[in-house]
This record gives sequence, structure tokens and C-alpha cells, in this order.
Amino acid sequence: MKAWEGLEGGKLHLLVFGPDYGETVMVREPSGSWIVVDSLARTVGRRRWIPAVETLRALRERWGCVVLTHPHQDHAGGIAELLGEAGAGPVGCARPIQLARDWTETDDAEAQLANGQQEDALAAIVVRWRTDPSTRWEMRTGDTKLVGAVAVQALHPPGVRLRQLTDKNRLATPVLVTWGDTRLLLGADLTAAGWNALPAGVVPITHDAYKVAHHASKGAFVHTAHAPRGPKLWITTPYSKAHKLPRFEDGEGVALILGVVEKLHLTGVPFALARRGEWERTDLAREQKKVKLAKEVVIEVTGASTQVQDHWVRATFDDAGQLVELKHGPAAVIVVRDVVPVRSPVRRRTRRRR
Amino acid sequence: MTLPPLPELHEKLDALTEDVAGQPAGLWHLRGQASAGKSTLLRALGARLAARELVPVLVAPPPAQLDTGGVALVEVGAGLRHANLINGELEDVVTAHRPWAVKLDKVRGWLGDAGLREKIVLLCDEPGNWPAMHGDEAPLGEHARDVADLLLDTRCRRVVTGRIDRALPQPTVVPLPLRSDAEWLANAEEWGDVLAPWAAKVSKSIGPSLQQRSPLDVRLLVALAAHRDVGRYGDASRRGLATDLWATLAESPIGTKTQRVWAQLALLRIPFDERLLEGVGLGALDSLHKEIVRRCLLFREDQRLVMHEMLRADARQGKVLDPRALQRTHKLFADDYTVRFGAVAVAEIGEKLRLEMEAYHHATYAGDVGQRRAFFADQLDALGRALSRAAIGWPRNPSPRAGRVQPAIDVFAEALRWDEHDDYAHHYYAYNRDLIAADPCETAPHFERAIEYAPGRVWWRARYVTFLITLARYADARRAWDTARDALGLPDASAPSTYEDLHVWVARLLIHRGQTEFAQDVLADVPPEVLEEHAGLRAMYGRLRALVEARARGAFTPGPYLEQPYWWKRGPFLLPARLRDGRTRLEWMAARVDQIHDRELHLRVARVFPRAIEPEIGALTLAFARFDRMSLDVKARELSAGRFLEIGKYVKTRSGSAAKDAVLHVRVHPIGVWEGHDLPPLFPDPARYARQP
Repeated sequence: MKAWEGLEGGKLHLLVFGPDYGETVMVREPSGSWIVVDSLARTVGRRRWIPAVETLRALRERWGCVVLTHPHQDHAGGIAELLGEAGAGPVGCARPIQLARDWTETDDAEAQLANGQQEDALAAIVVRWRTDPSTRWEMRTGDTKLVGAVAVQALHPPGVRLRQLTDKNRLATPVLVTWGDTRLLLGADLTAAGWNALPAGVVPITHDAYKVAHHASKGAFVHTAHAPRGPKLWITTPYSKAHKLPRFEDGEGVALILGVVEKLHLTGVPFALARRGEWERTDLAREQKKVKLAKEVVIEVTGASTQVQDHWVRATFDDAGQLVELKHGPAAVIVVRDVVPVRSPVRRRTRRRR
Repeated sequence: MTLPPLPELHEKLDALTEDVAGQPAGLWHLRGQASAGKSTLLRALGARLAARELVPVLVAPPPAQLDTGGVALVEVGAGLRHANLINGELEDVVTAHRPWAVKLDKVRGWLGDAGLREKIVLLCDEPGNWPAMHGDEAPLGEHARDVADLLLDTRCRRVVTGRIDRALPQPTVVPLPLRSDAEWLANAEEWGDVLAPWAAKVSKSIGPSLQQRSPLDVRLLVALAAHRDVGRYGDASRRGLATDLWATLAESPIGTKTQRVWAQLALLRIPFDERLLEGVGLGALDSLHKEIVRRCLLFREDQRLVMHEMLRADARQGKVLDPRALQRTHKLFADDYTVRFGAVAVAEIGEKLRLEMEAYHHATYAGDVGQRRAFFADQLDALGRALSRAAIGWPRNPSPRAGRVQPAIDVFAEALRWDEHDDYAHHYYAYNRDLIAADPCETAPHFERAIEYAPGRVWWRARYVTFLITLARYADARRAWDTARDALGLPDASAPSTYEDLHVWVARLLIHRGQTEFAQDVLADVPPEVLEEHAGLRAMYGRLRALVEARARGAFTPGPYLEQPYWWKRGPFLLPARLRDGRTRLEWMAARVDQIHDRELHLRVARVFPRAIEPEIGALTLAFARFDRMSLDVKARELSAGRFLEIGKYVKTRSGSAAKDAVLHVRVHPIGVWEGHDLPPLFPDPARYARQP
């Protein structure tokens, strides 16, 4: 099943894509227009996969708002292509983004690839703004745009001393999407310092679903920022590079989150998928054995796929904030709080969901 | 022009005068090696024909310059006006707001007039060199070619010199052998008191080979003889003589001053007055070097002086004038020509206009056009180019200030108001806007129009594609690229400059942006023989390989070390084979610092095996303290993401139990910001749009 198959009109649909690396959040408002928050792009060999573009093309629908929450490669890689697709509406980005004064290329190929995608995304946004000034949305706390039947509100940055912010995560822009009584909080990669800097009137943020900030890292978790209600649907994406997020040990992000909600929906596990230029299936069970799980944490496997396009979670809401439908891509997993003590940490903590 | 007193040359002149006078609509082609005296003979012929009641029209525009075509048109008009064959119509050619094609048609009409063409003798000096073949001037070479073709195809009498690339309709060929003689060298009046002894010395040293020497060669030999023994120059080429003279002058302070005088005079494009010599500092030279300038570097044409085109080129190559000195000299000349054209009688409107064009030319490079008039959009194009270059500077400033570039943009906009079909102006209007990241919606149509008007121009294609890449409009860039390849008939290994002008720039920017697939396609288009000869293209291949490798292996492998793609396959580079305590290296891992978090280093590592076995890829986390114990270089806190490491495992013996004694050591690769000498530079700032407010 594809993430976009079987979408009903008249509802609010939230799609979160996130393979091992990269994140795209799409919200389809009831009249059929899409709000796209960040756009991952993956290239392996000569194949380029951009889920936002693929979704719009498959449905022959248009974007009505595009937001780049911050120009890190895992969020910005497919922005330029996305803006080339059919669509019209606000294009949001916090400014100014601090670009290097020059573009001296380093020894590090990965850094060069990342810088190139950042430049692409920002160039595409600025060109869009200049081509059609009505699309310019320099996001600041409280700015709101109407897209079809929904309101899209920027929560950060507050607009002061932005030039001093060199950490792009600190500049990240969470947005709140509202339709009737339904409130979706899309947390971007904002870390705790950013959440704590939000004005008193903004937090705590009431929401029916939360795309958890910064891949559920410990450093992005601020308990006081949230006022979850209803199904307490929290979704996040993995980050397979470096120290890998989310982390499942005691005191780390997942454990903290499971102190607030009973389940965390993960679009995939934080292990790299690409190998030797081809998409390959990895031994998911073997990879999961490497996870150091905190006590009372269990990973439920939904489908055990490692295909890059299978990493998604989809939720559908009515205008009263009721979760109507929840679907998981075959690679998604659910992390749950389990009060039953387990003796064999590996075999019994991993169970297939039926 | 005064002919050197060489009997054979005078005989040629006599015969040619009779021949031309007797054959209406004839075509004569003076051929000979460089500096054989073709131009001199052409000018002397003009004077003779004027005495035969013909109307010689000398067309000798400066070769390969942006305004060459315009100057040639004005020279035709001036010649006809001088003879009263046309009246106020000359103004039609120099009216500003009139397209090039209309002006060309006007001149075609004059030359096609049956009543006029009986009398006209077109004396075209080196028309084959009028259109620039390479460089920034090449795009406007079309206008120079238009005029050359028009003049060569007309039914007037025509005498042309030099190499002609196109077929000529049954020309009478007049060969000019290189020939000087001892008698000329012995003529004291020709050389003056100061140089006469050196001329005699030359005659004595290389007398027998004088027959193979042109007058220009002989002049250079005399100048050289004043400084060194010229016996060894028996078979030296003209270029060799000029190079040696230039180098000889550089050896002394007075010689250096002479070089500067030479270089300044080389900026003049038409014969000039004696008084300009003082303006460029001739008075500061001693009598020997004054005479070298006057009699060896300059020719006399009637009462004026002129430098041979080849000596002008030599001086340009010498680059002794810095930008400020160049500007000062052009200012001097611009002011002088302004005074001169102001002083010319209105009746000599042709000469007046020609001088006015020279004043505009020098004012362009002086950065001070002021209220001077231009007659052709080409002149505005030259001005725009000069302003753009001044804004960019040298070495090129990749992010010139918008305020400095704007005057160039304004000039190109004006050129387009004069001539909407000026592809050069369209392109550079767009290019300069692109340089400062001005509104791309207004920029793009001008790039497109330039291509429409001159589809074969490689630069127009290259800059349009890189413009689209810079905007991250990759689908459009792809289309423009494919169209360019088709339009230019690529691949074509016989045109290596196309790859230099197109592929290098496109691929370089794509590589910078990490667009590996597109870059691969661009580089794959380069024929192997071109690639082999181009270090820049090869360097880009290396970097592209590294990027592809990094992307394909993703988080599994150490990032490739760009200077040495696949570096782990060749290493280790830093780890010693044996430690001082006798332990030997058992195995090693290549690693990259992926992230530093919470006093831990997160590494991607590749365990490297001998031979061609693929490395085993994994991740490794090292606490700062542990890393510091292992490191033979820097401390963990000094590292940053993206640094490359070598981790070696050392044992006392290779026996099985030795593993217990194993120790790990780390070497850290130094930070080497990649400065590949061969990698073509990026220009302009590829992030210029992203930086816009």
C-alpha cells in the first residue's frame, strides 16, 4: 500500500515520511490542497525519491503551502524539486539563514552534498519569493496563513537576535495546523532552547497529534511545551547518522516521551538502508538487537519492510479532533510502554503486531 | 605610408597601380608573410590611385575588437564622404538608434551604386583578421565579418591583404617576398645619427640573410644591436626578436621605461601625432631609447606615427601596465582624440567621426565616457563589458556589489534600445543581472533571446544552463542542456574549446551542488581525447567519483577523502607499520568523524582488508577519554565532524595469543581544505540567490 492511497475528502490527513534519514510531513486539508512541511530526497544510483513530489504526482494534486522548517539536508533535500511541482500559496522559511561567507568546498564529500542541497533549497525559495512576492512567508512566531480550510501558524522563531543563531536546529520552525477543533503540531527539529524561548501565550500547545521534534531526541523534549489531548498521537522519524535518533535507553528521548504518551509511532528504525548503491533489505531483527531498550519499552513491528518508500505513518482526523484512521507503512514501528517485566530483552521485547 | 627604400617594393607598387587603374571591378590579393610590407604597400597604393582620379577608400579597422565592424563601416563612409561621393548620408550610418542591419544596408547601397563604384577602390587591410575568432570579442565578430563580406563581394575595385578564410572571386595574387637590403641599412637618414652605427653593425653581422628579413625584422634587429651582439639572430623569427628585445629592455631601468612607452603606444589603434609621444613619457628616455621607439617600434605614415599590429600584440602580452596605468593612458588618449575631432573641420566629417569613435573607445577603458557619443550598439557593448569587468575586478570578485554592476546593466539595456537584435547585449544584460542575483524573471528572457539570435554561440548556452542550475531549476536546466548539445552538434571532438566553454562550467557548478547524476551526464559527453588534455575536467571527474561514492554508500562508509577518492583502499597513510615498542600493525580501519555528541565521538569506520576485498563497514563510538589515550595526534576536543582518521591495531607477535597485547592507535588526517589546483574555479558566487534578502 502506498501512503497516499485511499485518502478521503472532507477529512484532514497527516502523512509523515521518514526512512532512515530524511523527513517529510504532508497535511492534506479537506478541500484537497497540501501543506508540505520539509521535503526529504534520497538518491541511490540514478534514482531519486522525493515522497512529496511522488504523492502530488500520483494524486494529481497541488501544494497549497510549502514550509522549510530549517535547511538541514534531511529536511531540505527535495524542496527545490517540490517547488517545481504544480502548486501555489505561501512558501515559508525563517530568515535569515546564515550561509557560509564563501563556499570553499571541504575535503568532506558528505558535507559538500549537504551544502549543495541547502543552497538548492534556499535558492529555490528565494526565487519563488521574487517571482511571486505574494508567496513570501518569512516565518516568525504567531504568523498564520490560511490554506484552504486550515490555518497554518508558525510557532518559532520569535524574531529576535536571529542573526546570532548559527545552529540551524535552534532556528527551526514548528508549525501548528488547525482545522476546526483539530490541531496538529509539527515540531520540526526545534531543540529545548527553542521551545523554552516561545512566548508564554504560545505554550503549552494543545494538540491532537504531534510530529515529535528532532527525531525524538532527549535535547528536544520539553514536557511543559505540550498539552496533548484525545488520542495522544505522537509520530516521529528516525535519524540514522552519527549517534542515531531516537535513542531508547533509560533517560533518553523515547523513555521521556513514553512518560507522557503510551505509544510513539516511528516511521522506521534508525538504521541506514542504503548500501552499495542499491536498496537492499537489511536484517531488521538483527539490527533491532543492537538497540539498547530502556526498561518497560517494547518495539512493535508493523511490517518489517526496509524499502525506503515504506517508512511512513498516516493519520486521518475529522474536524472535531477525532482520529478517524491510523495507518502504518510496512517499515514503521510503534514503541510502547509495557508494564510487564520481561526477562529476555531481545526476543521478547520485539514482537510482531497483528 | 612611407615605403622603405627597397627597389623591388617600389616596382611592385608601380605595376600594381597600373593594373588597378586599368581594371574596374578587379580584385587583387597582396600576399606575403607577416611584416612583409603588405599594409605599407596598400597605403602607398592609395596615394598613387588618388592621383589617378580614383577614390581609394582605406578600410583598416582595429582587428578583433568589439567595435571593429562599426569602425569599418565608418571608414568606408568617411572615404566616400572625403571624395564627396556621398553627402549627409553618412549620418545615417552613425545614427544611434538604428539597427546594425539597416546601417549595413546603407553602405551596401552606396557601394552598389553604378555611378560610384566605377571610381571606388576599396583597400581592405587584413579583412581576414577583422572578426575575432576567440575570446570575449568573438560574439561581435559577426559584425566585422558582415562588413568584410560586403566589401569583398562588391563590384568595386578591391585590393585586400593578408590571410582570407573565405573564397575570393578570382583574385589577382600579388606575392610580396620578405626582402631587405644592406643599402637600406646603410642609409643614415633612415636611421638617424644615434642608430646608424647599430644599423651598420646589423648589416655587417647578418648581411647575407637580409634578403630573408622583413623591414620590421630589421628594425627589431637594429634595436637589439644597440644592446647586444646580433650575430646569433641570423635565423631568429620575428616573434623571437621581439621577445628578446622586450626581455632585454626589462634588464635596465631605462629599458623598463621604454617598455612602458611601448605598451602605452600599443593602445593606440590609428596613426597618432608626435605630441602624444611626450604624453606617454618618451621625454624621460635617453636618446638611444627615444630613437628605438621612433625608428624601430614605430613606422611613419605621412606625418603621423603608427605601431605595427604585431608589436602592439607583443606589448599587450607583456602586461607592464597595471589597471590604473592603463586607465590613465586611455584617459590621455581619449582627451587627445576629443580635442582632435573637435578641431577637424566639419567638411571632413568622415575623419571627424572616425576620431570621435577612437575617443569613445579610449574613454570606455578610461572609465570616463562622460557625454561622448557612441554610434553603434557595439560601442555600448564594449562599454558595458568594460564596466562589468571593472566591477568584478581582478582577481575576480565572485560577489561584486550590485551598485557597481548596475552601470554595466544600464549600458546593455541602452544597447538593446538601439538594436533589439544585439545578442551580445541581451546576453550580457542577463549575465550582469545574474551576477548580482537580480530578479530572475526579468533575466531569463534575455538569456533566451541571445540564444535565439545566435544559436551557435557556446557561451550563451553555458551561461543560461548555469543560471538555471543556480536557481535550482534542474528540469529546465536539463532541457537547456539537451537543446545546447543538439544545437552545437555535440559531441564533437574537433572542437575542444566547446568543452572548455560549456562542459567545464556546467559540470563544475553541478558538482558543487552535489547534482551527481546530471554532472555525470555532462562529463560523459566529453570525448576521451579532450578529457585527456584537460586537467580541469579530469579533476572534476575525481571529485565527482568521490561524491557518488559518498552518496551511494551513505551512512555505511567513511566519507571519501576528496583529494584521494577511495582513500581507504590505498592507505593507511599515517599509521606506522611498527611501533617503537616493537608492536606491528595487524589491521587498520579508516574512519570519519560523523558527529560529536555528549563527549563522545561517533565514527563511521571501514575495516580494510588487503587486496580487492570490500571493506567491512560499521559504526564506532569512542568516549573522549578513550580516544585521547589512542590518539597519536590531537585530542578529541579538537576534532570536528568530517575529520578523517586511521585506527590501527598493533600486536607484539602475530600469534593467536597476541591479541591480548593488542593496542589501538589513532592518527588524525590534517585539515586540508581542498584546494585542488586543477579544479576549475567557481564563479560567480553560486549561493548568490540564496543570500538575497
